[in-house]
Amino acid sequence: MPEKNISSPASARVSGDVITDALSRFTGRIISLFVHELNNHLATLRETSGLGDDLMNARALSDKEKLKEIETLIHAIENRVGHTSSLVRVFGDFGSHMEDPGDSLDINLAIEGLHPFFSKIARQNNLSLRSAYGRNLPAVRGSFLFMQCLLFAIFENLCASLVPQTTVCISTEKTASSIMVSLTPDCAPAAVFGKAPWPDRTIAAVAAAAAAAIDQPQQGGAVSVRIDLST
Amino acid sequence: MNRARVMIVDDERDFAGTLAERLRLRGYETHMVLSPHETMALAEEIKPDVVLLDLKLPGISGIEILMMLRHMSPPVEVILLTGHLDHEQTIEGLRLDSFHFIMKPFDIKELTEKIDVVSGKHA
Repeated sequence: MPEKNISSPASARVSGDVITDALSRFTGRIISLFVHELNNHLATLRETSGLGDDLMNARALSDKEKLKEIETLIHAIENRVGHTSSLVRVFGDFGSHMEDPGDSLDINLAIEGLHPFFSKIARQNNLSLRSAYGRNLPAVRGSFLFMQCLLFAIFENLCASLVPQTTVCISTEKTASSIMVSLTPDCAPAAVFGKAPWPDRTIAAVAAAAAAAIDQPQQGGAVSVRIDLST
Repeated sequence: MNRARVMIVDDERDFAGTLAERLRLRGYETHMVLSPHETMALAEEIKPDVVLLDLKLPGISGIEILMMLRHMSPPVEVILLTGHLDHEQTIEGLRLDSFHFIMKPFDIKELTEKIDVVSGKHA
């Protein structure tokens, strides 16, 4: 496997166009994933409520049987509305951070805000996710949006290089001088990779904008993102 | 009543199960596949008249499954279930090849009319 080190902020050249394109693409991906997931929820809600209507008109069932079935459907609808509300809330938070990027961020919050989208991408690639977040991590200086864009790009690239049924662990921890985010697959990379969705040049540019350094010794292997506490 | 045999390929269990039930109440014979990799085996076994196929499936493209189904002998009629048009050219290409699609969330009447037309089987 070829060694693969992505540039640190000191060596990456930041291009305005590359950054703008990356943020546009990231925003587009988030919207796309959100819409797809929302549509799935709406489709299920429609079918569930429609089934309730069908059962009300079903001659073969007694009133008692109908009530029992409809009670089950109502609970299913409530459950589904709950999931949909959570998704909308996450999307709303994403929008808020775009409106007001701020100049410091909580890494765990940044990752949690991406989690529904990470879960969806993992599902689409037949992968599983696990989380292990460090507690009481200090806030770091930087843009929420750039950091989320960086983590998203790295995650999508990693997923594209893994064999199905791999579990990816997303973890955060504090070291003496930095916060580390690690994405660690639980098995060896695939022998052959498809095209990575995000070019290295783009990831390097976003990493520089996010004041983060990336280390991925082997393509398809574990990736670490380091954010120095002094920046 | 001579209604179609329908196979639903969608990884969303609640959606697929509820849709299957609604179609059964309307007289269709329904089968479900939640894992897309099991699609061809079941299709060979039950010989569906129509497959309702989600375009976005985990680990495999819905288009790949579509092509495999269309290469069966005889070719299986497919109605794609799609949440949004994320690739207009893909959809346009599908139109040219006379494949069928319906946008989620859909009206059940619209779906059953499409199933009846595509399968050639009516109540």
